[in-house]
Amino acid sequence: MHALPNRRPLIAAGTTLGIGLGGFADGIVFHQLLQIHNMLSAKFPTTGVELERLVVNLEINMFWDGLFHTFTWIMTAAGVGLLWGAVRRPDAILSSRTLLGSILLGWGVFNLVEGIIDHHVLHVHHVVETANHLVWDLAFLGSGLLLILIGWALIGRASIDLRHPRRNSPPPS
Amino acid sequence: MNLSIAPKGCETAVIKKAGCFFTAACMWVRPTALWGCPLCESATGEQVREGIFNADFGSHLLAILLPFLVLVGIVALIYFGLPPWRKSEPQRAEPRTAESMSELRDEDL
Repeated sequence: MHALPNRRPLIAAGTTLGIGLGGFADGIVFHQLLQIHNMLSAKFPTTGVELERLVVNLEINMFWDGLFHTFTWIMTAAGVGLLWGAVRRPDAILSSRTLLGSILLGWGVFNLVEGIIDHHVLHVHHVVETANHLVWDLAFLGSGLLLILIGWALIGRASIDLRHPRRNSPPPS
Repeated sequence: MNLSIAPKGCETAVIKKAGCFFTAACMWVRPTALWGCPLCESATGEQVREGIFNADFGSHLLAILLPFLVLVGIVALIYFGLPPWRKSEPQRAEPRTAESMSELRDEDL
């Protein structure tokens, strides 16, 4: 009888990578390209203020965005380290679908956790600093849930394949 | 074993030049610039520094760090599983052989 192989190291590595890459996607797309969703934009707004105040607030937000990117870099590096550890384990299984699912899971978990804590609990920033920011914040949480579901489904599908590893292989001649 | 093809004196000169360059770079990148504040000599720069390094610095840092602490906890939960007191029954896996592992390695994409 075969016990199922240990998939935890690969899922943990993929999730950590997903958190880091999701954080970078957030920082690059929202903070830098669209110039919204900065770390302390609710406390130091970058819209509706005078030019001199705008420069100061942008600089302050840039500093905290830099710290945010520092932590996302650390998570990405930790993910690479965990992945290296996973591929060297004799009991770990190397499944592309599990890895991709875990990365999406990590990205979704990042959006969900960051959204709940920063947008809804601490109120340090919102996705868009407008009067109806709740819609955008909920959409952000929704994207996180969607990514988690897709990632979870991919990991689950991979586990089905693992239980029947030869179901798609041609019959022996 | 010396694998260098350069003359010995030449290597020393290169190291000295690199040292001078590094020192000059460190002097050019002053500590104020390292704090992410290109306008620090101006009044605007002063306001930026006051906006960052004030009584709220710790709470702002915690606000940035808190999601990552939660995320690290989630990853630890995935890696190590539930703590022993939360597990209903212990699960033991049989030791795996190289043959059985090769059967289960998939390339499913």
